[in-house]
Amino acid sequence: MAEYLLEVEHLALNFYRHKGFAGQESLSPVVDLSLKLMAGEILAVVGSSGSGKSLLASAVLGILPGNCREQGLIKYRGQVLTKILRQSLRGSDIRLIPQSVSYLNPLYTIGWQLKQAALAAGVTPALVRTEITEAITRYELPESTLKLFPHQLSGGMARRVLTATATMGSPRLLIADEPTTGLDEDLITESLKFLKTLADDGCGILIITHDLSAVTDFADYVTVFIDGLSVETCQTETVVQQGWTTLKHPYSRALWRSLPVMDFWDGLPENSGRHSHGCPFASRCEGCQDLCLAHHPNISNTNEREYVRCHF
Amino acid sequence: MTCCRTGESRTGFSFYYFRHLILALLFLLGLIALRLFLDSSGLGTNLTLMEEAPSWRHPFGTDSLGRDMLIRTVYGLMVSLKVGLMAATISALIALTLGVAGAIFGRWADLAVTWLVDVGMSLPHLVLLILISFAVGGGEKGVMLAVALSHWPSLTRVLRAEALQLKSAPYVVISKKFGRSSWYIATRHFLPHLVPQFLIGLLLLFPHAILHEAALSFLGFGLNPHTPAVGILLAESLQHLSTGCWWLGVLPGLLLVMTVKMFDVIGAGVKKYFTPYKD
Amino acid sequence: MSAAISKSLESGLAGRQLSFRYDRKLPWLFRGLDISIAPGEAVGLTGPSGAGKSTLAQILAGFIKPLSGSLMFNDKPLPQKGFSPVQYIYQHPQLAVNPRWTGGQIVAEAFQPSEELLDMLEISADWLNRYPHELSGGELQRMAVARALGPETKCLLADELSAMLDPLTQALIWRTLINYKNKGLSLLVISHDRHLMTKVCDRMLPLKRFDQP
Repeated sequence: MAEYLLEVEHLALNFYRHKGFAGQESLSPVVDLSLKLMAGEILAVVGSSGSGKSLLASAVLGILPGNCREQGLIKYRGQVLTKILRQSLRGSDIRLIPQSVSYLNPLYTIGWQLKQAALAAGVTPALVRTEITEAITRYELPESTLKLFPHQLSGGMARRVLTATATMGSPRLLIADEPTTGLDEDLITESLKFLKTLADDGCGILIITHDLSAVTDFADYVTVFIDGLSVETCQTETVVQQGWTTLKHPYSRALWRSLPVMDFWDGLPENSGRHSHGCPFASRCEGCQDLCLAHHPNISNTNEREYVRCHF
Repeated sequence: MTCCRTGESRTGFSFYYFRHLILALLFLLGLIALRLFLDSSGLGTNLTLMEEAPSWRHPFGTDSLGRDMLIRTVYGLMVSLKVGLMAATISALIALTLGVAGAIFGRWADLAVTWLVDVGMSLPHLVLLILISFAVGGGEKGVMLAVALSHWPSLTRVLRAEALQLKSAPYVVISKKFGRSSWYIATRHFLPHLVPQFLIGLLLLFPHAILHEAALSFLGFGLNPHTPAVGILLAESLQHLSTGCWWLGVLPGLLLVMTVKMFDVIGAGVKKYFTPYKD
Repeated sequence: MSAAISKSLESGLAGRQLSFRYDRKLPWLFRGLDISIAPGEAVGLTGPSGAGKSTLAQILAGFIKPLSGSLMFNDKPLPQKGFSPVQYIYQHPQLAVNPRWTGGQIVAEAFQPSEELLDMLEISADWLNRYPHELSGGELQRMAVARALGPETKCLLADELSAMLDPLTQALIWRTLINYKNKGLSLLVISHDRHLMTKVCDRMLPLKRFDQP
């Protein structure tokens, strides 16, 4: 059996915060999330903005806030990712390509930050210089970029710089958080092409995004995430070639079908009828039955890689 | 595991979270209650009780004319509170009007407001206070006006900055394209955002107003020397400090400082209430 | 030829000889640009980033004054006061609504939207009692669209209006807008999504970078 680079099994995240003298309230942005990623692949986790999918990146990197309780299992190359392991792997094996330049320190030059990224990645100090030169030539950044500060970068340059910081040394797993937001079409294509190249070099790439239509041409697999549940994982190629009817879950069917490149179908808008039990899609599903409202379905695997979470 | 229930939340006013605010309010209410229920006969002169040190009968001692110092201090603080409340309210209203006007009526209005603020802030505070109070003819009215007319600039600056930020907020820009008038935008879009700032500013002006009222009276430009105002009590006490009557200055002074501090605490509490996320 | 066109009566929104740059030291974003959108027409604005697509949309909306040129509506200067026939929808609905207003107040700021419009955008009645932080981006954006589609709205500028939304909400909003377009609404569309542009727009207007000083 092939070894997965990253496996997430039934991840659930609960946030607790104090309210009043002795009160507490809890939020569960992630209820049950499962995914598998192999080296050299791109997997996109797609869900609407603000649905909590970015927390997946924080969980894998081990940077969740203290009031968060985690359940489930995260495995990296077959090994369970413990807190200590996450700490030692983040920045070296596992990297984040952040959403925007606001993740860079505004007070230091790009050169300085690339150097820090290289050192954190375990590049020996003697080789840092060459590593940086390689990175900026790889992403066609002029030498003068190194002297600039984050706020002086244009949108396209910012993407390249962020990708460059994440690819110092030899990462194995890259997590790209919303790599397309706020970019125009050319830059989206460019940004995703960089990720494709990295995947071809053997990296595993996890894209977290709300923009399904942007990633359909690049991702090998797509996992659809709705209200804390991952409802379906499918091979992108199959759907693009054979249409949305090959999908099994009614929500992912609707999602794909509504893309402008497919039917641009508008039958099912999002609705905030959130409930703690049952399938999050139940209230909008045509085939909804009592069972769907009672508890959320378990995963049933179609094959080794693809699964669907539906009672029917 | 017993502590956490999923999906539950408790909302509403938390007594623990606002304990400081509540204690401060109780303190002020206590002061007002004292004013209402204390026997005012202690205000009269009683030459048999001259310069007595603090005791159970006279917790703050008596002065050189045998008057009870606790009663005098409480009466004095009430005068201070009244003057402070009026002055701070007038001041804060001036600030609100100028701040919003600066943002709404275009560039020239804004320049005028900024200029006024600069002028107000560049004049030495106490000199301005003395001048205004003197020009109006002193007394309660003089102090009130002096404090009111000299304390608006800093709050104006805060409110103007806030209003300017709102002015470029997308929903205000859209509101204009909906054909909404400046008045509508000022009252419906700006005010709800400025009210918390305004209230906090008002409460934080309060201690300033009280202290400056005391300062003016202390220097002799404020209230009539026969009214029991804290400033006057403190001024009088100066003459008796050397004779060992420490309670004449220390105790009223202490109560003044505590009252002022309580307003500070209330201001902070109200701020916490309106902007809980800025902890 | 252009003289003949500009002489003839033209309905809809038109920008004449528009020029703009943000600073004297910066290059022109556009100079002497002519743009017109007829009633019932959807024009897609394309071009590389930095070409000034958003700036042009904001000039047409009247948010920014062009350095030269004029905005015409039905061959008359675009009115500066009153309800503007040209409305603009922001990309981030969270910023475009007053956070201290309820949904009901937000939707009805300019006029009371018809039941039909609210139904078309599937805005449910209980959102009207909620505050913006209790509503999702997709729900807020639908309300922002409803509030802009007044009886006097003749032209809608959609600058990445659905970039932050899920495909389902995106499709719903565009169905509504196309419905209004068929009744005579003009649309200016800016989007990074090529497929969306081809589905929605009648013609494309490419903006080029204008790099000469």
